[in-house]
Amino acid sequence: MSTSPLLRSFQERYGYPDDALFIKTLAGREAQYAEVPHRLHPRLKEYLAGSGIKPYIHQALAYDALADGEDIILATPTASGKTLAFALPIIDRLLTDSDARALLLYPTKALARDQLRAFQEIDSATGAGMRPAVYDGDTPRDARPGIRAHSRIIISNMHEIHHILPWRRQWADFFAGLSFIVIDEAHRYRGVFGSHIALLIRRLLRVLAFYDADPAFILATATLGNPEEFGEQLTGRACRLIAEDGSPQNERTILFYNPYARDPTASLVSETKDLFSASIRHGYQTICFSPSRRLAEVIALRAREEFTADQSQGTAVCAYRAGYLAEERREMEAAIKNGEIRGIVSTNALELGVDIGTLDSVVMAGYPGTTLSFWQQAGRAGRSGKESIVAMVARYDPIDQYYMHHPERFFESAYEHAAIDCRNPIALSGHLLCAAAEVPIRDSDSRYFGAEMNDYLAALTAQEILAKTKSGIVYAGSSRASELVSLSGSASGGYRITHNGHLIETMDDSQAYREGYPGAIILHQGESYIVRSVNHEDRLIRVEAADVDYHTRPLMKKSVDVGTIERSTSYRGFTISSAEVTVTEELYGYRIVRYDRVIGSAEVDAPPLSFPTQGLLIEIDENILADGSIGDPDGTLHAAEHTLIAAMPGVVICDRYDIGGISTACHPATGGPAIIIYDGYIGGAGLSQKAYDLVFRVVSLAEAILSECRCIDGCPACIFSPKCGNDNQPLDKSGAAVLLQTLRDTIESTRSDEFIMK
Amino acid sequence: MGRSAGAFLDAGTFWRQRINDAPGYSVIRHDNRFRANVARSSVFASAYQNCIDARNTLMHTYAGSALTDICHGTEVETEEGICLRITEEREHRQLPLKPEEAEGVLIRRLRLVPGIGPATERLLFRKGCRTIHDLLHIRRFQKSAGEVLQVIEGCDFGSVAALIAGRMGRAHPDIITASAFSPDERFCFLDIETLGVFSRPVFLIGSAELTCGQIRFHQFLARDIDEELPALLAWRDSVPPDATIISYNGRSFDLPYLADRFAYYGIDSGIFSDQIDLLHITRRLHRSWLTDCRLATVEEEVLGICRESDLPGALVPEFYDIYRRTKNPGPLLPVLKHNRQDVLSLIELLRFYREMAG
Repeated sequence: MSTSPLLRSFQERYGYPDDALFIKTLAGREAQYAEVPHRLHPRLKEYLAGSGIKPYIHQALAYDALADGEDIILATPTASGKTLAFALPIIDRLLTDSDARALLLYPTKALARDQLRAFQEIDSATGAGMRPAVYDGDTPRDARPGIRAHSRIIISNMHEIHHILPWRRQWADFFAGLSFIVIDEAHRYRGVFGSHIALLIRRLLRVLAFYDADPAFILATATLGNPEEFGEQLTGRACRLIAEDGSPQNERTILFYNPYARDPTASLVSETKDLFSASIRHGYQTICFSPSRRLAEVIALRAREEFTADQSQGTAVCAYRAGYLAEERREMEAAIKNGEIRGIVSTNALELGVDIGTLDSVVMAGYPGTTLSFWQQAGRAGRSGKESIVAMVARYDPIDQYYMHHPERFFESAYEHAAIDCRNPIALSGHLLCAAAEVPIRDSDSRYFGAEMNDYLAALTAQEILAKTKSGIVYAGSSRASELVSLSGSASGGYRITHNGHLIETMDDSQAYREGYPGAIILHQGESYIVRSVNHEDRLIRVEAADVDYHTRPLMKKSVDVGTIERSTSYRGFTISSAEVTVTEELYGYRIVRYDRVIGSAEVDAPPLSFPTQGLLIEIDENILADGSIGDPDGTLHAAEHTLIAAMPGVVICDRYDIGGISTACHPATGGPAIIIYDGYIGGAGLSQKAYDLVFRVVSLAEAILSECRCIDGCPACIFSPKCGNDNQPLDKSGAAVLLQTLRDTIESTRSDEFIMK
Repeated sequence: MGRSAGAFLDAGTFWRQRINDAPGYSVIRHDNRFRANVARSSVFASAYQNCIDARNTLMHTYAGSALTDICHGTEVETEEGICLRITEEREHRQLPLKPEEAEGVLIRRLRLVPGIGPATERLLFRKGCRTIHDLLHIRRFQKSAGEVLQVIEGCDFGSVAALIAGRMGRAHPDIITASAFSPDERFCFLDIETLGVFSRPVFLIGSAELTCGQIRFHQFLARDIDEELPALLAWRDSVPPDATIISYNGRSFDLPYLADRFAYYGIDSGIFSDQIDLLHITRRLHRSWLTDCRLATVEEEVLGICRESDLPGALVPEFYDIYRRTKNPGPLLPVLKHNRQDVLSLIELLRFYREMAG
């Protein structure tokens, strides 16, 4: 079925044994067009006719829904003509209402500038005179007043809005006329970051209401399991889903490769590197996505070594990830666009909307964690007129191996749910401070901030950070509220990493705790650096260049205290709850690892990092563990915990490293055996709450991973965890299989009982 | 607690801690002058220590005292509540430079006529043109010179200032000369104290007028945040609508700040259109030889006034915050004093520049 030399070479090399390679060709699709909406402004009709554009069905549906006054969430893939779907309704309104204005929010500055060009084009083609402009941190100071006064389409980002809102006096005219808010790549705003953004949007709406403006929302997102719920959580408004994608699609070949089917000791780095360089050698401009920045750097390093050795490709391979300085990024992006760079290794930074256009092929070092990410990354392959190949190298871990055993299930599986938690205590109280600095807060504002608003206001007023006045509650802190609150989740500023006094990159607090300890190896642009000193007061990490071939992995101890139980369900033998918990993590050392092999370890003396968060608490009746088929109760709980954590990202969008867990035969809070899974962020990110809602799906997936794994007593594809602080000891695979099966069956039968009762 | 985030007991404590950890200024160790320009807002360690010592002494002295023990104010009622007004009257000598003297100076500024730059001005001087009147005999300048003369002879500060600003910039010292056209009664000398440089409450508005040979100095004080709006309204109502606001950096700070605070409460402030910003004039005249153009430096170097134990501006928010939270009026004393000195210095500085202009 495959004719291209590259596919043939893959088949020859990897086609044995049968289950090592899975190839599926996804048929292309013809475009589906709609009639030009009859209500559309004549000038836009002319523009469409003149440029020979026929609207796709989703573009027409979006127009109609907005014309009817609805808020919409558009769930169509990248490159499906989203810009026009935004532009038609916006320019239409702006042409008929001379006071109307639109605000477009993009996740990155680069994307904002790409969109500016697109809007300028449509604007000049229609002669609309909207003066579209970008307004962000890079906008020159002297250009700002003009943009605020004259531009009717302003393109910006969430961070800018966070800082603009207290300056609202200067924005009074723009805000008063605001008719549309576009939020592109909305799926990015999930988890802790999403919780901050959802609250920021509440602040924006509140300031707009002050100017009697009530704009319509246009959200665009990658495919999610819960787009409507997500849209409503993000904006506080019911959004109509438009998912009928009318754009055409190229044929694509998807390839899953499982190196562990042949050799359980295979190395992900070298297998990925081989596929990646083979693809480049065959003349495909290739992007390789890696789950971690560390892996990205190593793959780039090894691929570059290979090409340097045979002198054929020179330095045409680069590593690209978040954390580089803006200038480095821009240079790299330009070299990618003009084809100078033939191979790029990236973390998820590139997946999220930087416009380097499409390339020829995509290689993934491991399953990217979510179906959403998989399809976003796959969307990078598909240059028209050329064959596009998407190749995924499976890791030796549970979800990857699960999909290798059942590749068809991947294509049938339900999309994961995105979680947002507007009740995260730090985010909510922080944004209340910001809001109080924008417009005095009144009781009626609880419609933006929820019923808990008054409790927080009371606590903040008691500390005299807020003050009660006749006009409402006023911000009275001596630091600027919008500077105290950082949208990226960590409530304090980031750590700076410097080499010989030069800033090489930045890390947030939790990342710095886990990666920036003295002795740790940090890779930057393929170069290794060793951490020499960490200054917590100035948030400064000093590194030195180090020519080493190993990397380091932190070792942590942790404990969890259970606080208030928020929701709880009892089953026969189990109680499952969603609770507030306090987690204490303590870094006590690190392992030195060379090519996946531990060659040494060292101790670190770091103060523990303790934080309140949310947890999913599973209490288990001792009698279940006393069952004859369970040999080692501790090992059973521990293995079940690892598998549940491994399964969770298959249901709720998160990374295995976003959540943590602990299991014990006698938890002080419950007095019995318990497994606790918690959000790895201060205040929680809504992940374990979401897992509580979808607990049956999580448990079922965990059970399937365990029962279908072919190993005898545990492997990285089922119960081994790469981040276990106890060196994966003790673990009892068969016990965990019994436990999870019992749990799954119990939940299922309780649910069907309930169903029958209804 | 170090860097552990375990201190998140409740939102109030968490953010209080964050605010305390992030003061709006930095203290420069060992008074190292070379580090002074690095930080946004900085205080030398020795001055900082002196201020903290002074504050502790004040807090000890005034423990249990009421605000009325440190200042005599009267409560002012506004439609949005009350605030405190502290009033002081001092003797005042009339400002130098009479309108006719100012006119005499300005008609010698040939550059006020469109088409004349510094080079042409020198050339015309050499040719014997001393005043704009003389230009009426040159056909090329006849018409515009006539118009400019009409403006100058109109003796209206607003129009003459606009002419000077248009021809030579807002910071030109001739703006001072033009101020002679404005009756002294119309000046409002202004300086505000706030909880930060932006988007936080203003708690003290110092404002002085010159009436009947007297300086009438008011401070509108918000004793707590709920008195901010009353203080804003009381100040606004105390200033005649056609006043000329005289400030130090007020064009970029004090007036927009007040406008922002009015807007915060949803009130249209009615911006005062005539202003003289003495910082701009000072920069133009003295930047070349002063170490910096802060008002305190100018007082010392230009006016020869020496402030004793003055509170650095960067510490003002913290001192007010402590007063507000402890209700101990001690820390408020240096703030009131600092603000009063700033406003009174504005009058002396204007007097000095007016003398120079004459």
